[in-house]
Amino acid sequence: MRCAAYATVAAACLSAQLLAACSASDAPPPMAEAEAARPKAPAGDPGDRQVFFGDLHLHTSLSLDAAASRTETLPEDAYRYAMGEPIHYLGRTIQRRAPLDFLAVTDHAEYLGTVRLAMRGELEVPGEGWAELLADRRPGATMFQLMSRAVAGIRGEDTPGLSNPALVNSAWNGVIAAAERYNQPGKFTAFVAFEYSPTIQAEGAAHLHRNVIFRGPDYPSMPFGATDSMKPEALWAYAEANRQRGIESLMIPHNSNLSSGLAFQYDDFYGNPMTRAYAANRLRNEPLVEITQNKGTSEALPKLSPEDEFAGFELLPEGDGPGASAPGSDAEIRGSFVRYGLQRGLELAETLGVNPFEYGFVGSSDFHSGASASEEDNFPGGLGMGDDHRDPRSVLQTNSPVIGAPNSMLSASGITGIWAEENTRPALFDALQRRETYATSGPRMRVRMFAGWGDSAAFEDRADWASRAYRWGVPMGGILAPRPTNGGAPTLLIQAAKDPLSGNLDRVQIVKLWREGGQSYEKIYDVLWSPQRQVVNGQLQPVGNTVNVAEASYTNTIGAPELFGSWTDPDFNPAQSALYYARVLEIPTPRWATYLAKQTGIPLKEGTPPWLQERAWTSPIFYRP
Amino acid sequence: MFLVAGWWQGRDDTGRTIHIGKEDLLTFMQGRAQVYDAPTFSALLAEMSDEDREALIRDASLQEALYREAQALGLAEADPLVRQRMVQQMRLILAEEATADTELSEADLAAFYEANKAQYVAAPTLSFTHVFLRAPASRAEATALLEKLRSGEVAADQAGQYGERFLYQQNYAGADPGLVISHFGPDFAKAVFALEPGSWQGPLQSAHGWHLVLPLAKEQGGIPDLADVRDQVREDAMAERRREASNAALDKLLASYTIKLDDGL
Repeated sequence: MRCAAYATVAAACLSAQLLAACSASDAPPPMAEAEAARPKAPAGDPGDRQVFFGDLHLHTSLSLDAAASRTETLPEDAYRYAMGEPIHYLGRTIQRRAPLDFLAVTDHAEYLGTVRLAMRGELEVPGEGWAELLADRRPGATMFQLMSRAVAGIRGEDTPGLSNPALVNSAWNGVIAAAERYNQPGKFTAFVAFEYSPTIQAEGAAHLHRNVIFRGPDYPSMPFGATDSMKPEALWAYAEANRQRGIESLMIPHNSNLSSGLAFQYDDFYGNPMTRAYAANRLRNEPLVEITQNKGTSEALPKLSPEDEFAGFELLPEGDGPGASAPGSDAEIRGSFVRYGLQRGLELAETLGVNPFEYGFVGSSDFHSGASASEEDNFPGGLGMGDDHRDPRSVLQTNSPVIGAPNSMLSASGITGIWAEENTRPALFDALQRRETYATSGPRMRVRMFAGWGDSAAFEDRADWASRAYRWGVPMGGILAPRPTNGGAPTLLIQAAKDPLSGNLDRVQIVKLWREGGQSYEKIYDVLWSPQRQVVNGQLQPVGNTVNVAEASYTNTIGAPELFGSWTDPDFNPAQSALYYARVLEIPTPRWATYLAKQTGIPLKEGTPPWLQERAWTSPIFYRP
Repeated sequence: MFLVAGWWQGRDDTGRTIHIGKEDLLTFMQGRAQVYDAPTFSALLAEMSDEDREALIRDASLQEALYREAQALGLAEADPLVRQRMVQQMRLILAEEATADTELSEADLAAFYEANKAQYVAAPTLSFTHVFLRAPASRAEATALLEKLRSGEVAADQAGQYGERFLYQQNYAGADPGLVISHFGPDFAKAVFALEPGSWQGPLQSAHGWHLVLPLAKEQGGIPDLADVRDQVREDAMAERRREASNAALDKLLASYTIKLDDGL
């Protein structure tokens, strides 16, 4: 794509950033440059890296849909809540038990801030029915009507009144100012960010959503939304143009479970086969994928992973609602869930030489409340009046018109753990880029994983084992060093320590994905588990269950506070490309809806799981033959 | 300023002459692209072919001509969107004017601090490193190792060579009691915050085993002096002052009008 200087400014190049990119993006940088751009670990002992917990996906009332569902919080409230301060939400005071270390407020770029102004009567929206819908303060049918009209922006449509670049610019400046105000290097990191939210109506409302996280301290003059382009390629051009001006960012695709198979396609978003340069450009912009959140976990489905007894975790209900899951054909599922996307990445790398889906993992909330509240026993809801806990009967018993099931099926998930030298924007951002991250469904378990060649036993029990592990191998998110000539199979070294405020640990599993004879495979290995467990016919037996549903309680009398050990791949073939990620399971604990049922005396609707096994997913470590 | 659409240089009295300068073209281009980034558009304008520049000048002139005609017809009054845009601009201008020279005296700062002291309370923090012996190690073993650390004058950055792997961190920087309680339990936290920095001490027991502790720095916490949190207080006070000033400006504006209500309202 090339732009003649002036004549064609209108369509393809809506923004100046894109204009600059048009001439530059003909030849995306080759892989070597993309690799070089990934930051090296800074000097100092990486063994002293700490884990920081936070959320990279949260909406406030600046988002079109959050405003339509009567959320009133602003980015300032979101940061204060994340830092552990009390805030007001739907007539209540809410507060996190354990504060977060970082937060990115990611309001939808489309109509940024304008629906909020319209709801407050500060902005007139011309056209049939708007005035009545905006004035109505009741939950229920009219709210969903308003919602479906207010979200036209994510479908790429302009709405007179709501489409207003000057107001978007003003709101965006407010977003930046709030992050600047609450960012406290060393204590709390506030990332400037937004969500790019193209939603393809013709493909069953397929989500191609991405969060754009900026490294700072400089930012572009405008965010980039579906109303600028429905194609993620255009977003990467925006990012590349910013990069050339010294503004660094990364993009995190999410809700792949709602992508109708478009998240991990073999082709680009125009339907053309990927090229090597395309794959390198995509990888450079998108080193991470979100694997769990409020609207479901996107790891894997039992249907395509029948051997994985823990695959059916916090899935969005399948059903009729516009927001319900509709996984479709096997091919569609493979394009929608992360595990199969990772397999496709290995497959594409065989022909392209570059893996476009070489992702690390993050977990986020995607709440539309301004409150990143991932504690099961302290969950105030996440969708404004869409799941208002002041009406617990509706939350627990009534089918939501959006998901076709009670909102109690939604998840109080999740957060991201980042291993970094210090809690600052540069340190955390660099760790995101090198994928030294893991996702959890909410608890703050500490998980470390390394992979190397040869035995790790000599240092495993030493106090400074982590420092030695960095010299011995690579951490999560890394690429295994080339195999020594007599290298044997790779060894993984894993430490998982429980969240002090949550359940003990059940087990650590390694999920291995690999290519063999032109096919993709997966295998799940139980590698570490709590003491006094039985293995019957090679199968680790369940840890047990102490959950008392009526009391919404559990005890840490089963499981273990720490699981530590190494595992060497027994089925390794050096000729096959492969990746390994760890999945750490807690013992069963009550789900948030079970706590709400206990508090209100209103029972769970049949079919609502009363407990869950919270978990962490580490970024994979990759092996290239 | 980004709200430049409709603002124009180069008028004359007759209203039938349109002057176009470089600034006008830049303003026009940015308004058209809905992106406000002068350096990029300046470069674009400089590289433009004669043909493209002529087309640009025609479009810019035409836009100005149409705008003047629309003004003559009073279209701004009739269109709710234009009206809304003007209201929005006026609100911004008022807020900007009202807060432009916001200043805070020492007394203002002190008063704000007094009224909002509670929000500046800081928890005590401790920085320390520790050497860990996993249960069921005995107190005697721990005491023996403590002697070794003391007699060897082992520095914090060498401590990793002693003891065993701990399930959380080896070094803690500025840890508050909440974090220490969550990793070590309440009894340990109470004991460790009572230690004075400088030397190896212990052994202290936690649910996980025995710990030999080298405290490095301690902050007492509590309500800080104004001098220590001055920047933050200043920022908070300014934010509140600006909010008040812009609300007051709106109130003042409204008060300069007489509002007459229809009967029955």
